[in-house]
Amino acid sequence: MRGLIALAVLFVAVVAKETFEGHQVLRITAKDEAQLALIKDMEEMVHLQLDFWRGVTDVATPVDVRVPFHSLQSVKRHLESLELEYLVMIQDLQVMLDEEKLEMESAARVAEPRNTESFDFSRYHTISEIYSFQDMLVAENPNLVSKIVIGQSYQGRPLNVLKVNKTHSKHTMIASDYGRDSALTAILDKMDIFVEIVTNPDGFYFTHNSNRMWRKTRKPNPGSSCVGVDPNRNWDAGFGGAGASGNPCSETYRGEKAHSEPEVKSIVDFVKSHGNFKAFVSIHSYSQMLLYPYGYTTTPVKDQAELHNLANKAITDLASLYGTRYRYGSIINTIYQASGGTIDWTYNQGIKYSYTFELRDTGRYGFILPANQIIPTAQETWLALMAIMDHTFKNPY
Amino acid sequence: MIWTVSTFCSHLFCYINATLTGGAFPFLRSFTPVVFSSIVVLQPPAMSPSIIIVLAVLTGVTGSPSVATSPAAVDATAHPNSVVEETEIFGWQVSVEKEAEEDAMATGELNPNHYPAQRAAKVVQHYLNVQYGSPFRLFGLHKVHSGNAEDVADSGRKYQLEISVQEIINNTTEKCSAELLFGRAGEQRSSQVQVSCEELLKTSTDAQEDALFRKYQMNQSLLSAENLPDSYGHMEPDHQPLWHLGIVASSSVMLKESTENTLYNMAQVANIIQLASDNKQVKFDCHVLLHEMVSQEIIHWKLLFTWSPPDGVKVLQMEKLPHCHDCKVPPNTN
Repeated sequence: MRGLIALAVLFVAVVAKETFEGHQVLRITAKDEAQLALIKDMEEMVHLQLDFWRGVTDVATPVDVRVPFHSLQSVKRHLESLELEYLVMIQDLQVMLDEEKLEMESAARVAEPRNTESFDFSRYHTISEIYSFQDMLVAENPNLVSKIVIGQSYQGRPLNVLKVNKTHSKHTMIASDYGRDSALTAILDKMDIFVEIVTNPDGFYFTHNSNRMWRKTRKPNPGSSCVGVDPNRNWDAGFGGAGASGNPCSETYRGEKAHSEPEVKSIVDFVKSHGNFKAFVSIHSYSQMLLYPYGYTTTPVKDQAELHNLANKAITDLASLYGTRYRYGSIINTIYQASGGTIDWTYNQGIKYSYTFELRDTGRYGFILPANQIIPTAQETWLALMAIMDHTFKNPY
Repeated sequence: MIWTVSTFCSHLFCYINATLTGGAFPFLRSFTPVVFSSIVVLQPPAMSPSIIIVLAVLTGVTGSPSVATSPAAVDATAHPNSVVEETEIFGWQVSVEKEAEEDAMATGELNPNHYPAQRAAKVVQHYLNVQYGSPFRLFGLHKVHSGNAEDVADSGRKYQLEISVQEIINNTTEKCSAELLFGRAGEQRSSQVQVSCEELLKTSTDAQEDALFRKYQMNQSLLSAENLPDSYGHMEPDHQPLWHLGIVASSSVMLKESTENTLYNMAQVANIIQLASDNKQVKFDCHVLLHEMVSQEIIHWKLLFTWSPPDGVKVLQMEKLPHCHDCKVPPNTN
């Protein structure tokens, strides 16, 4: 409360160009109604320029008043002569305001990292923090990373893809892991890596501000009070078939037509116009699984054996770090039938190495995984991703 | 008027549960095995026997009306993997809710990594938590080693499983054999489970439970907490036992609600309040969010339960709360 009042005072000070050097805030306690009346009388003493922060109410409630430096001596003499008890709450208001200003400035600095080195990966972040991170990453690595805005969410948020550029020269000096990790260096020598960190920013924002368990997009459905479409049932692969719902109120509502959601359409357009993606990985939680197509049919994919073996390699590498156990297989066998899913579409576009990760855990915390598991999850998942990227790189098609 | 026909197909037979909307007709509930057709002949994959399904006449008017009329539109709790087809049969406009490829239920030796065995094993987890769970003992499914499923005439489907379970709090793993019977679709009976494990209750939790029980009994003010864990997976250490109690109590619901087409986990304890009770146990009222994996729905339940070290957790009342589409759980809804 004190901070809030100080803040208000500060605002006024800044606006009015006033300072409060030497001002004190006194807390006056009345013993009875008579004393209370005496305090009330002080409100009339205009020449004292008293500023009542908490005015006279009843005997049980103390009165807080800011006294300007020039009135201090007279006010205290007055109070003492009336035997009104008081405490000095704030010795020097200006000093306190200056301290608080410094505190706020340094807190603001900590909250918003100035560069990606000081970005706290062990915490969950808001959508604006993630957008800032993306811009910082690009700014710090202009030759390596660029940002492509592939579209807008329903509510107008940018859908950003970070492109990690393949390099032509082995002599290029680049930040962090690149250059140190020879497998990654070899890949980036020949291939670009694209990352879309938040695919459903409207939903993401909604989980922070309204409903932590929200799954879908935030596009209203005409004729229904229920909002949103499941973006992993909205793709044109087995669309309309079993494995998704036709009910807007359902968590697996497919939408009124394939690619109806801008979040999905943007990726579809991006992938098609690029025309040369060789691998596509969709990352979800939870269940600890590595899945390959199909979800909409039990018909195995043509590359079933290869995808199965690669998944085995990937989850073995993943487990090597912390022992985290993943299951793997086609979507429809391993988890459930799901139609209109992302990687079914990407596979049917000819992107052979199409995989979905379901990250930690297996249900104990489920969707609300403690932040202290963020980095271990990322570290182990990276090993699986490397296995997939490495295989993709070494098996051109 | 629209006939709404729900079909639950198991193996070779489809049991048709027909309800009529918008009319004063008696309800038809028929378990006569009928075969059912759509416009195309279904060619299920190699695994399951070929089924050609043709709609015959709906026969028999038996039983008393017990199912409420529902609008032609599929409601939010309709089977998540169903698709509604409009078709005409014998001059009647029929809305048919077909179930998916799951119609061909996995039978015989099960792949332990595929979902049928995994879903059944999860039910065993819920059963173990109901039987043995406490603030200091919680079970999680560790691994399915092998499984087998078969139809049991007139009873449903029986699963036999070899699994490993993990006692989460003390981090021990245990091998178990389990047998469970899923009731026939359409019947309310919940699954029946039998489990035997090598040495399930390895670590004694008596001392910890007694200490906690005494602490709860002697509370000057009744405990309450909300959002366990919070949005970031965090909770106060003091609230952990309450979270565990919520999980154990929820396991009763999850056990009761589980079918071969569901996989339940408790997502969060929205709130939990200690109520006044006698000295023999402590009593709680809680609001939990359950996550059903197959439909991806978040389902709200209110539970009234007691706990004491000798008796464990006993659920006195459970109430499913209405589907709330956009809602945020209000704290301490009492």
